[in-house]
Amino acid sequence: MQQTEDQELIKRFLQQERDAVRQVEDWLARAVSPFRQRLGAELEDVLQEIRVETVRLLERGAFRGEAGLKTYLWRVATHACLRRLRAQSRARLVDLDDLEEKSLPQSDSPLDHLLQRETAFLALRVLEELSEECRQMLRMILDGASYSQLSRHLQIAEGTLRVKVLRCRKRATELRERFLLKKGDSEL
Amino acid sequence: MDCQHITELLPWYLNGTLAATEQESLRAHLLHCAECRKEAEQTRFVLTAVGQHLPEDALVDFIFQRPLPADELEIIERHLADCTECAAEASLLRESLELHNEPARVLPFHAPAKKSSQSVRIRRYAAIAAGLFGLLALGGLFLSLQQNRALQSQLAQQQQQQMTRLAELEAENQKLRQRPAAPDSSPLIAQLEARVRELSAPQANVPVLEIFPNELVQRDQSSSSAAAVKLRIPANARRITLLLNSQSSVEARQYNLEILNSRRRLVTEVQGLIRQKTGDYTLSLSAELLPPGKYTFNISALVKGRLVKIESYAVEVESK
Repeated sequence: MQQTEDQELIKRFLQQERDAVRQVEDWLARAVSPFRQRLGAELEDVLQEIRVETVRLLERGAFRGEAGLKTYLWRVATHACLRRLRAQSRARLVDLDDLEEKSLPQSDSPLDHLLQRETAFLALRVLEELSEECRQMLRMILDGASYSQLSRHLQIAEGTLRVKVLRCRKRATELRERFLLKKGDSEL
Repeated sequence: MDCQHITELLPWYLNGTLAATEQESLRAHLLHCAECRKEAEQTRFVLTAVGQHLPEDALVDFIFQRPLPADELEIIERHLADCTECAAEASLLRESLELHNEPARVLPFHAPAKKSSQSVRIRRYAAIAAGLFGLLALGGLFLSLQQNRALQSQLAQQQQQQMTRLAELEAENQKLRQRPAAPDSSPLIAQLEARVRELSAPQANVPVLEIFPNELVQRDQSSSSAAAVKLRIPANARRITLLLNSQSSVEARQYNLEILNSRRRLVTEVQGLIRQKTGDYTLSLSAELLPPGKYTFNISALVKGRLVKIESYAVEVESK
């Protein structure tokens, strides 16, 4: 019953019937309203992005009826808000792609999305296993501290600092290998 | 630079804080060293991991209570306990979920934020300006009303004063109307006018009367007392010419004459008399000034700054 109503609404929305458009707009506006203060002037951009994404997803038939249409669109809207919030504060690392002979094309396929999600959880697992000292040092480097600034802050010699950081990195790499191996074993 | 040194510097190469020469040297090395490139990739992963937050879709799924793998669920819960940023995002998502779960209601459509830039600002300023202008206009209206009231009050006062003055003038007018009529003065005026015409008319045969000073009269009459010169003025004479014979040696530019009657009252006074070469003073006067009676004619002059009587004449005008 709910599914029929949802499909009917999608059809009328895609035909740009006034009431259907108004209903969807209302849902999207309410979904993003808690993010208004954090997003500030970017809210309208995000709303527009969500509208475009909504039309694209509904035209594509991405909505499969697992939850109601309202919940589905609510998740799309909140996801977009979250993405924009993180983009505002993301640290930038030097790109290594120009060092590769071939650079992989960027894509947003479900597989890539899955791989990104897996990579993210892998990174979180590794992070949990690292010592607090390693996390602190690496976090400061990520925030843009030079080695001389960090050595002064931690009151250790630059040479000692570089070695410590290298050990933290090696530990993180080992953990990553271990988790990948463990996952591989569990999937077998 | 050797690989060991390169490997140590990789975290700072990736966060972009190496000196330009170091950055360039390292980059040049990485272009040719696959092993160091692998190390760079691992270092990048580690730094990314340090900054890793819960994947957005995982967090949304968690808040919206979608089924999640157990291990992911555990990591999400542990991470939310440690990471304030993810916890803040989770809070926003929960708030949004509460709105989702509320009964359906119609919200006003969210106005585009960009409109709050130029045109709304202009409208806002225009509204403020209109408001200020309105206030000024009200202030001006109030002031002019005040002024108007003051002027009206002044006008009323003036009108009151004028009414009072008018009443006073009316009362005076009334009094004047009630006063007995003044005697008719037109006959008197006619009389005076006739007299003026008479006196102004030319007169022929004006008698010339010579008068000698007291001194001379006393010598002639061998009398110690001042005998008056007798003058007989013809009845029809309106004017007479008097020749006052001078015996004084006092010289002055001008002389004064005063005529006193028997009671020593001044009858007339003449200034600017000139003694003629013949040694007398001449003057013409109305006969009416000398009705019958005794008179004294005194001649005086300014001598060395003092008025000095220099000679006198006793005159008796006999009846005509």
